[in-house]
Amino acid sequence: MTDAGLTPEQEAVRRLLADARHDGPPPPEVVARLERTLETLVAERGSTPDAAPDAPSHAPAHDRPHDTPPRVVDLGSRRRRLASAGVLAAAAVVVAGIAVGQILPQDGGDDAGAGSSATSADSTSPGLAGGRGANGGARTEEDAGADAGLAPESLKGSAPSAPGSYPTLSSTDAELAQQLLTLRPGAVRRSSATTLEALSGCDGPRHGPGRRLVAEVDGQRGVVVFRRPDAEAQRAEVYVCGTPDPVRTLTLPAP
Amino acid sequence: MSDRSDQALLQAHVDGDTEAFGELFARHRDRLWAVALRTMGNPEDAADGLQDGMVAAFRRAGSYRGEAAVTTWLHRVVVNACLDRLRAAKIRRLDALPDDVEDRGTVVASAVRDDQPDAVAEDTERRQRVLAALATLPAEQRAALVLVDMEGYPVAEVAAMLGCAEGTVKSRCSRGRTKLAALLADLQQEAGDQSGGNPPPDGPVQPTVRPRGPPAS
Repeated sequence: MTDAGLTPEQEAVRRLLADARHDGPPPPEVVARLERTLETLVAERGSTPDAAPDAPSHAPAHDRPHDTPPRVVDLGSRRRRLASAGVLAAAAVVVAGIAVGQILPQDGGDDAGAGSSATSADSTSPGLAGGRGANGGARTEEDAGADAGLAPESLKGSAPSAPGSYPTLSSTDAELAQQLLTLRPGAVRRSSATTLEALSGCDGPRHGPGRRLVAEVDGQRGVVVFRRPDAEAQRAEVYVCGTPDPVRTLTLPAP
Repeated sequence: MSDRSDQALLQAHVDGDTEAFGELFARHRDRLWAVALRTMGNPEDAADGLQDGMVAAFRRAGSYRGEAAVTTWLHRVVVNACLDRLRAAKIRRLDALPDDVEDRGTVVASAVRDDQPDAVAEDTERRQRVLAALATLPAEQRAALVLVDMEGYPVAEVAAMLGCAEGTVKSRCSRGRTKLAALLADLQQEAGDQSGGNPPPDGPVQPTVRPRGPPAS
């Protein structure tokens, strides 16, 4: 930079800043951390060939961003398959629980039926269905209805995405902040979004607290997490499902 | 370390070479760390910002189009990661002194004056004041000053790093320097005394140190 036009005060500031420059390498612990992160990135990338056959099923090639590594698709597809299998298993267990409740003698009371249902659910799918089965027969029917209604969505996780199912976002879009402002009212509480995120192959709790908006991000399933706003601003993080780090972080005006 | 150029290493990474990116990043790591450290204001946030930038660069290497030097692109990715973190965290500008006042740069700079404890203490205090004042600036102004005045990159290159016009970089630097001048007026006076008196009122201060420039890559 030329020094022309600088006042003496500004030139003195330049000199002070230059004197405060940092020289030297990062601390060893930072170097070690960076190297560990790089090893993880390389290792994940190394798993790409296994996922290659699955990649086209999640987004058309021309829709996928050029800079998105296939490994993200790999992990995402695995999560989607797991999530789909889990939801289908849960639905099957709930249906089985209802059937058992109807077959058992009615004079045994609702509690016996519910207990049987809960036991069945616990032994088959402790993660998702166990808690619901324990709530009793009436609740189980509600959940069964809910799951039945969501079950077709779960199939979308392993099938080609239905265009227009979710808002389409691009992490490199200069207008992304404006787009998120428009979409923000549609974000839901984390507890409400958990099921939807699971269906989308996202690991919701890892993304921390905040309202959720499921979206198609860079051609893949993703989620936008709107953090708790302060008086002036709200932080929004855009994730591609299956990746722990946001692909874009934005600061929006507070609602 | 190989003799491959930055561009060759980046292309090799895109083509699947598992070692290339590590070599490329290690080549520029110290400089990127310095920028992250001074932009973020403390080592913890700087480590986070540098790691974010490294991950982004690793994943987005395919987006590099060769329009700027690889080192410029790397700086851009890292600085943007830092700025994203600053915006997100809304780090308070009038925080206490930055945590890195005892960082390696300070220690190294002080080591050559072990026989002058008073001078070392003055240097340390001056650096603390400068870094604390720098931390009060808006993130964009701070990043511009770190890259231009601290690291010595040309304005045109900084404009490419920050993704803005050269005029914007100059404007941010000018506004930042003006604010710092007000905050550090007493230090300027001391600096003037040390160099043999106040500068002439109508002329620029003559630099007492060799202007810094980017490393030859």
